[in-house]
Amino acid sequence: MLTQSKFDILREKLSPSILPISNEAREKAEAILETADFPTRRNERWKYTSVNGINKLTFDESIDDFDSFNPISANAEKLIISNGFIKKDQKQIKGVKTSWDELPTKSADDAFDALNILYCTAAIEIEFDSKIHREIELIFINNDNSVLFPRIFVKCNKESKGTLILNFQGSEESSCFTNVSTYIDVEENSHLNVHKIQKNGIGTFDLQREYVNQAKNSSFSINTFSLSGRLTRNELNILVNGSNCETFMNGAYTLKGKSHCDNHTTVDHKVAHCFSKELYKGVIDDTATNVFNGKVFVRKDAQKINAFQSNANILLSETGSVNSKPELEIYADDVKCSHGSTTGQLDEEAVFYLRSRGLSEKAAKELLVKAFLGEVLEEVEHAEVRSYVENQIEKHFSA
Amino acid sequence: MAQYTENELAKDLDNQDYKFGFVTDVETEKVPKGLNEEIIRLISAKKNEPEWLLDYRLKSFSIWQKMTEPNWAHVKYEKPDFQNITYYAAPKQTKKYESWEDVDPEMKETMSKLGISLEEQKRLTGVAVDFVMDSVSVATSFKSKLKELGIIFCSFSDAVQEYPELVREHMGTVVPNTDNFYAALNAAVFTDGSFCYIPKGVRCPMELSTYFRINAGGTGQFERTLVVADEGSYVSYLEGCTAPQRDENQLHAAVVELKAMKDAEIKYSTVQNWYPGDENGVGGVFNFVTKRGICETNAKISWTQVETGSAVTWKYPSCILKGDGSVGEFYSVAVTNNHQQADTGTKMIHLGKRTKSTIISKGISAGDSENSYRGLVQIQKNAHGARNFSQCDSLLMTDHCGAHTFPYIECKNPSAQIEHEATTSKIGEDQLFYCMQRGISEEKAISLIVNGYCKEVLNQLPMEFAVEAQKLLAISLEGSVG
Repeated sequence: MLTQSKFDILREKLSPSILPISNEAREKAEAILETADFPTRRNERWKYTSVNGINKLTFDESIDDFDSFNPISANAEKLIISNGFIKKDQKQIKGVKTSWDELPTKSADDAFDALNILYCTAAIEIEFDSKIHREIELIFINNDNSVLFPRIFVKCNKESKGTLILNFQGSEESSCFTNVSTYIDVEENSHLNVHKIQKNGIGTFDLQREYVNQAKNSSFSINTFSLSGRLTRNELNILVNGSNCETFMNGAYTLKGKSHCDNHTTVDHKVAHCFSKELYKGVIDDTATNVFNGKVFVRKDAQKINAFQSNANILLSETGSVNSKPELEIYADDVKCSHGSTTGQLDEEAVFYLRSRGLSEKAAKELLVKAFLGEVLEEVEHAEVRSYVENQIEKHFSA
Repeated sequence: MAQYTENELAKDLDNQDYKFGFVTDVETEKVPKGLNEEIIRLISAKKNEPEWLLDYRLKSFSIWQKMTEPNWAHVKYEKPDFQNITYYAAPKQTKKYESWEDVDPEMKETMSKLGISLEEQKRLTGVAVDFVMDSVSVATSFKSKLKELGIIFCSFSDAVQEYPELVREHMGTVVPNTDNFYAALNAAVFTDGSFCYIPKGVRCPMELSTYFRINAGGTGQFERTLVVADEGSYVSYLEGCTAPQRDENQLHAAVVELKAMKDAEIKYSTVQNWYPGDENGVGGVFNFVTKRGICETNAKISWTQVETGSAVTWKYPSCILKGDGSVGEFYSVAVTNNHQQADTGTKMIHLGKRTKSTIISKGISAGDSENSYRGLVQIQKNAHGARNFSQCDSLLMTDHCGAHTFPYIECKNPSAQIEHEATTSKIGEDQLFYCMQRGISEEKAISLIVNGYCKEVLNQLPMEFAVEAQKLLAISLEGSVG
């Protein structure tokens, strides 16, 4: 008898996508899942993260219609995805496609991406096509035990400018399974900012992958804020295919309870004269664990690359743990690359200074943590995103 | 002005020949090629070993048979055929030398070519040399002086005969035979090595030194070194390697175990210059070594290494900081040229309270080589107040070599402080310009900058060793380092 893989067990609980998936994509995905199983510790990319807990989740498919949702940006055009499905009767947004004759065949060699194709709940294509800056916000709102499998395709056309906000908000007690694949094309001379805010319910498993392609003279920035959830994993893959590109990656995470957060980023510099900068910072409390793995590739002949990578952690509890692995793989000589990683605690003298001025211990620590994360927030140009995240950090500590 | 450009430097580096490529013509006694229980029994019998050691070897062999060769390192090489290796070769003379005059003149010649003639060493440096030529130690000097202090410094096989209890007590306690593929192999077939014991409260008055040398063609060398520093003692141990030119790959899988008891300090320095293969990457030594030390309370272990040789290097001298207040240090310069590959670094495992570790790693890649730093800093739950500082810098000399950094940082204690930083760059043009503008030739300027770049590590070496290390750096990067 054939043994059942953990994917098979999971698939029995999911209902197949009703969207028009091309046969080609379906066959490829089936083939990947045929041989795949959940990654184990022996897999270097999953050394510190176990996804076995997904199979303990139970799902229900009630589609609630939410009356209220909390947008972050006032000016952005908004699309609401409730419990994984696109909310009915929404105003059409220019450049946003949600109904399909056939889904795009783009896919990656990844078991969870294959799963995302077969059980896709919503497919969204966003196109930025003008020099005039546009802002689009996708609001993913969910409660209970819903399943969110969106596929997102973003295209920033030549000489266009755009901002995309991915606003994930789950009700506090929910235990959802979120599995997102995002494909981003940043074309020549264009400029794209992505803000991703993950505020998930405490039982939620959230696996996200971004595949970014940058053409020459483009600028791309992505800010990832992992605020809550049982398990959050972000795989950010950026391929810099043209010269004179700028790439910015910033991330902040606040973990407590049993949270586990895993940020895997890869920047692949294939051509010369590019710049990339990465800054991830976070605080870890209770029994939470954090994983950071940043990888910078500089390929042969990709000269004059400046790539910087930095990860800083504050561990607040005896039982939390931090695993950090900043990597450099460099095959060209005329480059400036550096990385740094620190793990520590709050400066006792700084806490004492604040307390001697009348702040309670809690308030003093809160202030210092906010200042610590503030370095990441300073990188965020979008004022509303910044203040939203600041508020969330405040709530995180007052709860 | 005749400009010495980087391209020319690269060309010079490509043409750089191995300086120590010569073979000593000494008759050697070998066992048949291949690996099985019989061979292990034969090695054990030849060395007249007690039964517990034979059992240990056989057990290690059965463990090894169940293991598969690891392949996670960032290196590519043809896997060695373990059945095509001669596991034992000893210089044929079986009788021990009565005095220095009795030593085979040819062997003396070898040593003087290496610049370590015993007479000179005795007279000038005060270093006791345990010269290992193909697995059996040939000459040991200063033995009597060390004996007065109760210090034991002898070949591993002598130690097995003379101090079996000590060897049995400590062997395999730092690197167990189940540890990894090559450690298990070594435990099964090790031929000789060095053993060193420093009694309580003794400060070893001289630097202990061993030269390993692979000589007979096709002989794998499986050395085993055990250094035990008892409470409150201090020892500085030097290990240096050169190997003659060969076309087939030679396997070197050594195990080094250090034990620093309460308040003890061990300083272990290595200059490694095995044959790196020719400029096309043919031949060269595979250097797959397991080095590890355990620190008890307030003990200190310091690893310093200068790696210039070997076709493939794969080693991580590590410290287990078990006792409270113990200290681990790792200083390394790794130079790779032509088609050399190095995947090296360290592991610092913090178990005790207030443990401290420092990692300084400098990589220099030239030619078509690949140079990787791979390190682990692990802070366990009870390591309150642990502190780590790591710095790994890489210098790239050509545009077809690679420099990589893979640091693993794992922290389970909130009072620990860990810092890691790494940079990768080439020699700064402004620095070069500054030197040249003051009348220093480009070649000399590069030498100056590289020396300055490595200084932090070279400073850690004992004086006479530092001189040799600088020579080796110069040979490995000749054309750039004057």
